Amino acid sequence: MSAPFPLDLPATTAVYLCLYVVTLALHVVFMSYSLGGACYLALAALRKGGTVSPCERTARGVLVDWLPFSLGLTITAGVGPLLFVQILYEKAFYTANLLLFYRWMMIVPVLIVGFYLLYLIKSDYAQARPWLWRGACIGAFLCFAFVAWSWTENHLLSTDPRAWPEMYEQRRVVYASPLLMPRLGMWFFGTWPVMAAAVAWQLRAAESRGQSVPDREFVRLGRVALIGLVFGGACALGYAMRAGGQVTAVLNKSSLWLHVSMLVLGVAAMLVVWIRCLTGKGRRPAIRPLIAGTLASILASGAIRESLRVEQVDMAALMSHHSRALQAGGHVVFGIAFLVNALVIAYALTLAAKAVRGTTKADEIATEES
Amino acid sequence: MVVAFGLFAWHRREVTAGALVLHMNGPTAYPIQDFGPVMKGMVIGGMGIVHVFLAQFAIGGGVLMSYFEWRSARHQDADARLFLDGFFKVLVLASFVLGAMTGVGMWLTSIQISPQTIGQMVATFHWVWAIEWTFFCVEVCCGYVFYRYGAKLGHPDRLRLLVLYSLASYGSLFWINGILSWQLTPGDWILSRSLWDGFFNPSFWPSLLFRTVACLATAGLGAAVVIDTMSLSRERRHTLLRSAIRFLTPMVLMPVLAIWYLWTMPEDSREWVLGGSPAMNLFFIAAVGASLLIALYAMVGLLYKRLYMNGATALLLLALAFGASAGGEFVREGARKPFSIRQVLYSNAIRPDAVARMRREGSVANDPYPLRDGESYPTKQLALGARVYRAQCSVCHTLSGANNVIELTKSWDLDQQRLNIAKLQHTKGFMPPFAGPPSELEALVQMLRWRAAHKPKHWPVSDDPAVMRDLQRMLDEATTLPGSLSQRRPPMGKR
Repeated sequence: MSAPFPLDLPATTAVYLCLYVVTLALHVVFMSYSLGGACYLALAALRKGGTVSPCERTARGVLVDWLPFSLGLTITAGVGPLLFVQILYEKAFYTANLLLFYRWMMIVPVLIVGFYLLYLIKSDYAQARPWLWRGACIGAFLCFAFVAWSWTENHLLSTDPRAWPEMYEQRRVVYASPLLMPRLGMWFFGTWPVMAAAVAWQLRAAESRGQSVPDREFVRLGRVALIGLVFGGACALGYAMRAGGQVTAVLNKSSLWLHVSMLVLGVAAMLVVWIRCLTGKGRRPAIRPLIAGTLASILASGAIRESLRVEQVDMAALMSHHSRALQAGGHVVFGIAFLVNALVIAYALTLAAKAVRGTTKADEIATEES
Repeated sequence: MVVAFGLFAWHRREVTAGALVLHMNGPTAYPIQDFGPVMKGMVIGGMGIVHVFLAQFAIGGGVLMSYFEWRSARHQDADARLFLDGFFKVLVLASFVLGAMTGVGMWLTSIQISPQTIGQMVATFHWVWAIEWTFFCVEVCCGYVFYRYGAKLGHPDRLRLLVLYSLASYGSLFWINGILSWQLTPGDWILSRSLWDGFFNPSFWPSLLFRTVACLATAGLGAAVVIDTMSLSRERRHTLLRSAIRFLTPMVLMPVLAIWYLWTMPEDSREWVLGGSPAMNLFFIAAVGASLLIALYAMVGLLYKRLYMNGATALLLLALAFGASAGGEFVREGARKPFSIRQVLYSNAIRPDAVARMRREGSVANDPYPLRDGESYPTKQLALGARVYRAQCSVCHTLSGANNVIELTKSWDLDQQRLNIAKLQHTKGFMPPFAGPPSELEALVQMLRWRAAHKPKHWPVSDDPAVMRDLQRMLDEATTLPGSLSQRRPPMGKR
C-alpha cells in the first residue's frame, strides 16, 4: 500500500501540494459561505417577500449581515492557493489564464460589483426599497455564479493542452467541455451544505447568547443542506461518468483510501446530523459533528481534486521545477510569520468575543431593568 | 502545514547558485494575446496605479486612525472618535473592496502581460509572497473586527486593534517592496542567488521610506476629504483637519529620499529618467511637480498660515497625489527597460543568455500557437515576420494603436530598417537586442513594410544571400549584450 496522497509523490512536490490543498480548503470554506449564501438570498428575493434586516435572527438575516465580511475573507484566503498553484502547475495555469483572456479578467470587475452589492443589501437605503434589495440579491448571486463558472472553466482548460492551439487560433474565450456543467454543479451544490452548517453554527451561537431563533430556520437550513448533498452527489456522479474511467481509476488508487474514507465519513456525518434535525423534536443540529464532517469533506475533496489533476498533467516535467523553487529560501521566516500572525488573528478574535460578551451582558442588564 | 514543513526539513538541500533561474523555452511557450490598439503596459500600469494608490491609503490610514484613537482617548476628543468611525467606513468600502480586488487583478494582469516575468518572480519570492499574505490576513481580520465590534470596545482595545492593523498593513508594504525593488536593482542576487540579497537590494530602503511618506500623505489627504463631509461646525472640522494635515509633514523628506532612490538606480536607468527618455522624464517631472505643489500647500497654507481646506480643495490635492503616484509608478516601471527583471529577463520575456541561441535557432521555431490571421499574409516570409513581431515586439508595441511600430519605422528606408532592427539595443538603449537569425530579421522588416504599404495582395520574397550575409554581419556587430552593457565594453575587434 502506498503512502497517502500527496506523500506518495516526491517530497518537494508534496510540500507544495500540501500547502495548496490546505489553503484551498480554507478558501473553499469562505467561498461556499459567499456563493451558497448569495444563492440562498437570491432565492428568497425571487419569492417576492419583504427585505431582510441584518438584525433579524434568521438564516437570511445572518447572511445579509455577514456576507460582505465573508467575501472579504474569501478573497483574502484565495491569495494563498493562487500563489501555490503558480508554483505547482505554472505553465498549465498561466496558459488557461491567457487563453480565456478578457473573459477571465472580467472576474475582477464582476467581483467588485458583487462585493458592493453585498454592502448595498445590508444598507438602510436598500432595506427601504424592496425592488432594489431584491435586484441586488439576485445581482450579487449572478456575479458570484459567473466567477464560479470562470474558475471551473479555467481549471478544465488547464488540464486539456490539446485544445490550446485551436482555441487560440479561433480567438475563442469560452471553453466548452462536456465536463463543465457537472463539475460546476458539483461545486455549486457543494457550497449549500457548507453554508448551511456555518449559518446553523451562527444561529446556535446567537441562541447561546439568549437570542431567540425560530425552529423553522434550522428546518430550512437542513433542507438546503440535504438538497445540496443530493444534487452535488448526482453532479459528481455525472462528472465521473463523463470523464470515463479516469475518475474511477484515481479513486481506486491506494494512496487515496484515506481521503475517500474522510469524504464518505464527512458526508455521512452531515447527512445524519441534518436528518436527525429534520426528524427530531428539538430541530437543532449537533454543531460539532456537523462542522467536523463539513471540514473533513472539504479537505478530502480538495485532495481528491488535486490527485485527479496530478494524473492529467505531465507532473514528471514539473517536479524539477518544484525542486528548484523549494530552494528559494524564506520558508523559515514564512513559518515564523505564519505562527505569529495566526496568534495575532486569534487575539483579534478574542477582542471580538469580548465585544460580543459585553453586548450580551448589557442586553441582560437592560432586560432586567425593563 | 505541519506535514509540509516536516517534508521540507527532511528534503532540505543546499541552495546552489543559479538554481532559481527557470529554464523556459523562450517567449513562444505561451499564447500571446493581442490587446488591439492598447499597449499592454497601459493595462497593467492602469491597474497598478489604482492598486498602489488604494494600498497607500490603507497603509497610511492605519497609522492615522491609530493616532486619532490615541488622541480621542487622551484628550477626551469626541470629534476624533466620530471622525474615526466615518473614516473607517470609507477605508473599508474603498480599500478592503477595491484595494483587495485590484490586488488580485494585478496577479491576473501580470499573467496576461508576461507570464514568464511573474513566473520568475513567484519562483524566486513565493515564500516572501506567502509571508506577505499572512500579514494581509491579519490586516483584514483586525480591520473587520474593528469595523464590526469597535464601537463596543473600550479605548485600549480599540487602539490595540488599530495598531495591529497598522503594523500588518505596513508589513505587507515591507514585504512587497522587496520584490518590486528587486526587479529594478537585483543587486548581489545576480551572483549569489540568495533570497535575502535580492530582497534587501540596493533600492529597498529608499523605496520603502519613500512609499512610507507617500502612504502618510495620501491618508492625510483622504482624511481631509472625509472631515469636510462631517456634520460639525467649521471650527471643529478645522481642529480635526489640523491633526490630519500633520501626516503631510514627512513630505519634506521626499526630495532626499528621491535623490537616494535615483542614486541606487543603475546608471542607464537614471539617465533615462533624468532626460534620456523624454516620456520618462516628463512623467518624472509631473510626479515631482505634483508632490511639490501638495507639500507647499500643506506646509505654507495649512500648517504655517493655518488656512482652512474645503472638500473641493482636498479632493483636488488628492487627485494631484494620484497623479504623482501614477507618474512615480510609470517611472519605476519604465526605468527597468529593456528588462522586466534587470539582467534576468528582457521586457519581451527573453532571457539575456538565450539571445545567442535564438540567433542560431530562431525565436519562433518552437511556437505551437498558429497565427490568427495566417491566411491574410501573401507569403510565408510575411507570416514568419508576424510571428517574430508577436514574440519579440508585441509586449510593448502595437500595429495600429499606441506605440505603433509601423508608424515608428515607416520613415526609415529599407537599409535603415535592417540596420536599426539588427542593432536594436544601440538604436535605442532601452530596447532589447534582436533575438533571431537574419531570416527572421528580414521577415520582420518585410512584414513591417508590407503593412506600411497597406497590405497589398502581392509582395516579393526577400531572400538574397548577400542581404542575409549583411544582416548576419550587423547582428554580430551588435553583439547579444544589452545596449547599456555593450556600450561600456570595448568593441569586438579590440577585445
